[in-house]
Amino acid sequence: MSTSIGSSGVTFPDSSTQASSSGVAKAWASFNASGSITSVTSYNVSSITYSSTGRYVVNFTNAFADANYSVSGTACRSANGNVPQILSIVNSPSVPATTSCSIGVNEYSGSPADSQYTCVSFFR
Amino acid sequence: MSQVIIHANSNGGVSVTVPTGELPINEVLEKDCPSGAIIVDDSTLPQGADAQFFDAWELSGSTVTVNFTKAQAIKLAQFNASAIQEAQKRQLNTLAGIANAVSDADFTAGLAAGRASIASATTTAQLVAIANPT
Repeated sequence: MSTSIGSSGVTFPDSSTQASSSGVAKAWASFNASGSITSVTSYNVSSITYSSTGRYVVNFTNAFADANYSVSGTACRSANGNVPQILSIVNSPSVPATTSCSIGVNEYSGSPADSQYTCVSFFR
Repeated sequence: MSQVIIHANSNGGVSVTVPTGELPINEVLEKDCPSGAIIVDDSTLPQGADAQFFDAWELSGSTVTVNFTKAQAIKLAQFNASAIQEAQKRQLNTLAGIANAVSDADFTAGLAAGRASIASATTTAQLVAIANPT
């Protein structure tokens, strides 16, 4: 179902239609992953799998045309003084695919770590 | 009470899949999870201090338990990582002529005491209560 914004007449397509459009985010998610995954808000994301500390799989509701998408995001561990972390694509537990993407959060020391604020967007 | 999907993963641990609500959980189970994955209430998963040792979770049937030996190893690794950071900070303080909060002897004693506490702990709550070295 498409979504209209205010009285401007701007209409966004549903996620299955948007999946074939260029120049817009095809999926995004924001979640808290400290001990368990909570506070999830998302678009075109059916679920998030918590596989180990700092390792998550974002599963897409509607698959991408291919796995050559761009990923951007941020992570922050606020429990210890708003400590920024590094978010990246990882190849474990699965390689980036049309239906899902594994992402990792690490401390600057290099250690995988959970994050209270993880935000990730996917463009294609 | 929310429902999640759990399955054993290749690391010997447990993966927890949390539906976002865009699809019914049964569709998420079919689409996003391997065969053998099961739907459970999240209240049945380890809580409190046990929840802080996610990498020590193990699945037996439909029950998730915490492998305490793994939890001890996780805590020791965290403690040692923190010890290295603190030791580096102390070295920099020394080079910069800044006094450290505790003496070298007290710092070394604190490391030994912390590691002994981890080795002698019998519950995850005790592990969580052990402070990082300072």
